[in-house]
Amino acid sequence: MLAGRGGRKIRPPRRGLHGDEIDFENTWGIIASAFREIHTKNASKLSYEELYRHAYRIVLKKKGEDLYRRVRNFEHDWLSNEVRGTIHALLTPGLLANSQSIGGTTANERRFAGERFMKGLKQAWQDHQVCMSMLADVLMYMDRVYCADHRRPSIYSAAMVLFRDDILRSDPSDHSDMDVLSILNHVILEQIRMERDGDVIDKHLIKDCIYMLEGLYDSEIEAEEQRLYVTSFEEDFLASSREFYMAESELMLRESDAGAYCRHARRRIFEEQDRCRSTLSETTTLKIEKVVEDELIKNRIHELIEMESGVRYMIDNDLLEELSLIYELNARVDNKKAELTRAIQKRVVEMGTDVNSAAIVASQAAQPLSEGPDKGKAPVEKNLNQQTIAAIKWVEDVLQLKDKFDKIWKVSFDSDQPLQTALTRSFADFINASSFPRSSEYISLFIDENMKKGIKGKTENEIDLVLEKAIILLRYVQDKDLFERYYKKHLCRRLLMNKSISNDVEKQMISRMKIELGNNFTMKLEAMFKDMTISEELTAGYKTHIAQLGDPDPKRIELAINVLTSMTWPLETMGSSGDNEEGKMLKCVFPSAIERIKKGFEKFYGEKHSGRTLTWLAAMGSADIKAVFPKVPQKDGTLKERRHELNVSTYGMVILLLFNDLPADEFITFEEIQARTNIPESDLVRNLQSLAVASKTRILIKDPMSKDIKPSDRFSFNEGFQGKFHRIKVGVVTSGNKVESDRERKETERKNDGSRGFCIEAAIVRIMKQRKELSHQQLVAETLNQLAPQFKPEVNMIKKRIESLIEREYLERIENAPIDSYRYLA
Amino acid sequence: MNDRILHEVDNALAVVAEQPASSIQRQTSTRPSFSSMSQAIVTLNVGPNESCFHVHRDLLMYYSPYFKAAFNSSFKEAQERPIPIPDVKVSTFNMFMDWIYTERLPRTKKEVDETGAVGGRELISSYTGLEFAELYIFADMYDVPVLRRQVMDRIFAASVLPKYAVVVLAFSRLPTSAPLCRFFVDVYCQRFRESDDDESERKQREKLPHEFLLGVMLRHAKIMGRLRAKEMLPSYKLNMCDYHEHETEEERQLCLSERQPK
Repeated sequence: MLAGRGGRKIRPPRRGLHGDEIDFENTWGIIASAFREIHTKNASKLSYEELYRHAYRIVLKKKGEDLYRRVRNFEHDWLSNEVRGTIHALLTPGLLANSQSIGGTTANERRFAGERFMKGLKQAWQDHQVCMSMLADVLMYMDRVYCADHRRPSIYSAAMVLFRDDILRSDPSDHSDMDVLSILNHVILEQIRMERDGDVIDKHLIKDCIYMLEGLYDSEIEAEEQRLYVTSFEEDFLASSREFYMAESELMLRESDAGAYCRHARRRIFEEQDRCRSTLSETTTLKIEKVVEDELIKNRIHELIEMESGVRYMIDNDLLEELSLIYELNARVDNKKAELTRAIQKRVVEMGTDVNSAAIVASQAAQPLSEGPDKGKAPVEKNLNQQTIAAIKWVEDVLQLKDKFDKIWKVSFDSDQPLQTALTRSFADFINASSFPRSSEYISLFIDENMKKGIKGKTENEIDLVLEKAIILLRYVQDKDLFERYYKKHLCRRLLMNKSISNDVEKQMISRMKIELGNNFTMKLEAMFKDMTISEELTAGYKTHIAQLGDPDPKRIELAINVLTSMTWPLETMGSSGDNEEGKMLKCVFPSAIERIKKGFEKFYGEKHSGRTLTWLAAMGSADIKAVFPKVPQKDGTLKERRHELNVSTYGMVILLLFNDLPADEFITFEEIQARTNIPESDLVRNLQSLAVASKTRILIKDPMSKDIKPSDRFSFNEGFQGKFHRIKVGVVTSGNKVESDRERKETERKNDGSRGFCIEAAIVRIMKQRKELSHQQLVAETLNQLAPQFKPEVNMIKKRIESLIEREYLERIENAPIDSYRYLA
Repeated sequence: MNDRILHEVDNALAVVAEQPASSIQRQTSTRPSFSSMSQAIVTLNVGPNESCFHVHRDLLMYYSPYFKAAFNSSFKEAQERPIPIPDVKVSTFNMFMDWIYTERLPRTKKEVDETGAVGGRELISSYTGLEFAELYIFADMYDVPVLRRQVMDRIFAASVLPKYAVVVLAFSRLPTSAPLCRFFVDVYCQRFRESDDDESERKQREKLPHEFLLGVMLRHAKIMGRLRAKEMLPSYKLNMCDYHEHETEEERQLCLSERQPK
């Protein structure tokens, strides 16, 4: 049984042991004098036990309120009488004046006075803390019982408030409204300013003062944001920093270059971070960072980037490190790096436009006489060659530009994804610029050139690199269909004229394009390769067939044939330059020997594939002719018959064969040749130019001798022809792949637009078949979307195609629909 | 004493016994172990006759902010020994010494009778409500919160009316707001019957402190009001947590959930 009732008798507690009645005034007197000892640092003689017991008794006797008030008053008096004076004495007139922004003292004096003031204040604060923690120990029971029961702040907190009010908020002079706290703020700010200007300051001293401000609160609420540091100092600090950096950025922009500015800005940010760690409070780090970022970067980034030594200068001079600084700074203040992106894009387009213009200038400078289609052919051909060079230079320039910006992107921009997107967009912008419609053709020509010459003697890796370059550029091209058209044309010539260095590389290119642009894109190109393979087999087959016929004619002409599927090959571009439509209707009249072979093959082919029509394209073939020229005296005086093997176009062969039966001293006129061969005029002119005008292959003599071919010109066999080599190639100038003339290009575009029409119609029908009904807006949007990988059609063109489909009753307009809509008619 | 009360007492004791000391005390640091604490021993002169006690300084400092301040500060105590503890009875300090090394309170005769004798003979002797109250007063003055809590729990668990002498002692040596004083008021309101007082107790009534009587009166009025409003049953129980110095509601909830029998 525990203390139960009715148990053993318990005596009441003895009186006297605890001295029930106490004399408050006496006891307080003892405590107060002990506190005075504590404040004068003489505590070691005091008995903690005794003092604690005194305070305990007072509280137990319900005099806690009195004790609390007395202690507060004691502290108030102490601070007011003993401490405040010494602090005020430290405030020299210089400091006071200076804090009101009046000059008069030297910087060094101010600094010295400021440090003395801070030291004094710090000492007073630390003394106060030490004393108050001792007092709090003595008054522990009062804190626990009286303060807790009556919701009073602990005596320690109360004393801290007193320090704030009696010291920091005291007014040191009658005529100013600056209290000690604002002077302290000012002194600290001035010291920071000195440090920013490169002086060394006493960081620890300032940090101690900051600790004080962090330990005190502005109001009774002890919340983070109520600390004096926040309410009194931090705001001033941020405002004065803002002012400082605003002025500094202005000065820097005026007096230094962009790279130095960037380095400086970055250093300032590090400095401020460091200052927060070592001198101020880490809670300020983000805020001051923001101020510096605002003033040095955000508000200035535009000016900075646009400086003479700004982004443009950095790009032009490959200042990768400085570009990376700019990137870093811009990224600090703007996630999207809008300003930098804008400047970079602008520069890409500028430089790209320069490349475009250079290509245009090169092509125009090389083509001053090409207004008329018929005059000045030879210079035009020569110039076309120069244009091809310009095209290849354009590709190389664009690639160089891309390499340049890729490097910048990788090294300086940290491989930033949005920036890459922006770069790609800008490249696409200038490559597809409406002022420069030749990119598709140029890229195809670049490939053509490499397939024919460029990759000769290159290793596999180097070839890969070339192919990759072409693909890179191709990615930017918007009108893939136009590219396809050019590529087909160029490929066609390479294949038929056997110009490709390596069939493997050709196929590699195709498979790369397949990966990049899809199956659809390369289907026809692959079909062209297939035709070539089948043709090889056919040629071989025909040869065997002839041999089996058992007709060993020594003069037999060997035939190599390419059978081309007419839908796959861009044959129209293979013909003459297309200026005389009627020329195409005419069929070339072959000499009988040739005609016989032609017939023989047609029969052979007809047996294999019934129902197919073969159309002979004389304009595209070539022939090797063995020619014998009469004996002429050699240098050593002997006479020697000369044999040459002439490689000429099929037309050239047909023309030359006319002279076989002609006595040496006779001639044929242009008109006669035209009549006997039926060769289209323009082709005839070209071929005669190569045979009779070009100095190295002048197998015919033209009379009168001039560059131009006229209908009345007469031609005869050049018996005195001299060639340096046994084998002579008579080039017909149009047979190479060259940049189109403006007229040709317009033609190509016209044709391209034609085929685009079909693509658009096909897309519209596909969409409508699936959706049945659709509004006009949606249909246009979906069509654009579906065609995006191929080309970007004009909306107007889509409208026209819709109209046409309605006319042909694929679609109908939905009557009375609120918005324009169409219905699919199955 | 009726059976119902006895039953309650046993239950409460059983519940308390289940609680490991460590979960009852909510202290941020852990009790220093002998392997880690300083071997410094301080001498305390207890009571008017200055009886000598030797005790590990770190244990004192761990349990009591008072001793922590005394040994850490720059007062005389930091250098000079022994330290006087003049206001405390030797028997009370003996209990404290036993407790500070074991965190256990002495058991009463009844507990030993029921659970079988273990431990030294002193433990079994005549600890009464008065002695526990004195221990509580010591823990209040020298600020030993863990001890206050354990003594409070023990007195609560006994769940009997304290003698008037104990009430008088508590109200003269503790702040009225002390949990023990509040408990005495509450327990008198809950179960005091006129017939419980024998002759000697009746004589003590006149010494009852004003604050105690006032407390009972106010509490009684409050409870009557709640009974009338049917907010509580006449057979209400007291909640141990009302006499714990919980600083937050979470702490209180945690304490409640820990005391729920499994």
